[in-house]
Amino acid sequence: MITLDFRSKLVVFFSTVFLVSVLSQNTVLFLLIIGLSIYLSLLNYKRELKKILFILLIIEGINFITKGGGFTVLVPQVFLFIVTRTSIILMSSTPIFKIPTGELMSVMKKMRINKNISLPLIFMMRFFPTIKSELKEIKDSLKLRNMYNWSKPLLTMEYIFVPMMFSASRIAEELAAAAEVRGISTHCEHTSRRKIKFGVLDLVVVILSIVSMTGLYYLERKVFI
Amino acid sequence: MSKKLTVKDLATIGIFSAIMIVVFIALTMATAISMFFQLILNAVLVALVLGPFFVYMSRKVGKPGVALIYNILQAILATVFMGPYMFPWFLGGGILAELSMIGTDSYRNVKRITGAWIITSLTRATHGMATIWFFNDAFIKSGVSPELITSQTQYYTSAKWVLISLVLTLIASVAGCYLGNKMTEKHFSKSGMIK
Repeated sequence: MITLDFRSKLVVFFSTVFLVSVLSQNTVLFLLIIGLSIYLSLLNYKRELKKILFILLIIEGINFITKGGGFTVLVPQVFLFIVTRTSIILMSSTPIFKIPTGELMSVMKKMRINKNISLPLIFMMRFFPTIKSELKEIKDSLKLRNMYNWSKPLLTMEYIFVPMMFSASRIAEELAAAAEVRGISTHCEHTSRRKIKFGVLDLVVVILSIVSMTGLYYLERKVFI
Repeated sequence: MSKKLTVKDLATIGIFSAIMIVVFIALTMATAISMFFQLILNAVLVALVLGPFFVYMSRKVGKPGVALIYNILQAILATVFMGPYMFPWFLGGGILAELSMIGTDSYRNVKRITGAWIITSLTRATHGMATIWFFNDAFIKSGVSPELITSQTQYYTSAKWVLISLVLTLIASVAGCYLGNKMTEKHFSKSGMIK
């Protein structure tokens, strides 16, 4: 398994975002998926990779059966288009979302990103994985009390939203307290026990990303058109 | 009370933005089954459903910067999923929303919060239109499906559909904030959790 610096992961991510927004040929998109699969395997995100590849396989299966037209209004072509693109972006963003909070904080500080933007972004990324379980807990408790009923949508909305707001506020307070205890508000110089270093491997990844991005863009524009 | 955002305030904004983004993605996925719903009613539904969260977040923090930071986070998300040309659109919306909140204790005033939410929702509702109106070339080059371009052009260049979408979004934003305020008053103000 290899470890990379956050900045090199960002380069891979932005290269993918650029390619996803300009590529339209299936062959070139397929090459991009292969490249990202190798990237995720090397970073040891095999479980996440299997999940995304499974989704892409289903989408491609539907595309193949319907010859790219989608299943009428149930699964329209635009839906398949959005899911394919989002899944590819998800492949490149997985290593970013999985980065430890402390490391992300140090990198943001090193990149001189304003605290008012970096902190909400970090808290947001830290909270994303728990939203599903929070919502599931609320839904389960509503079902237990026979209150999960969409025949009264406004009432059900209130029953879901209010506990969600309570829970989110509590988590915000806990996370803020944890950050304060670690001295986030102190004015002295902040240090990190994590070594943030852009190494040779990172340089190789960045060069490979740029070369792949240029190559795939060239294939799209010059070879397939 | 200091007007500077504390770590707790920033955590509240981050966490509520995360919830709002997840709900927004879920609603977008749900409305993607029909092009009409996706293009005309998605922003309406989002304005109604996310309104209560915006009211709660704004009143809980109660300091300047909430609308701007929320919109910047939206802009980052739009950049990631739609391309970098969308960033200035959302940033502009965020600046306008924040400007509408200038004044003392505006983040405790539900009418002012509703104003900021209307601007935020209209920014979101018009971002699809903006791609056709101002960024058409960049949009076509982005490899979007021909079906999407045809539908988007058909709906977003028709004054009737643009007006219907914007008016419905405006009504839904007001309704969302009204519901949010009712919820906040009923469950949080009485207990003293929110001023």
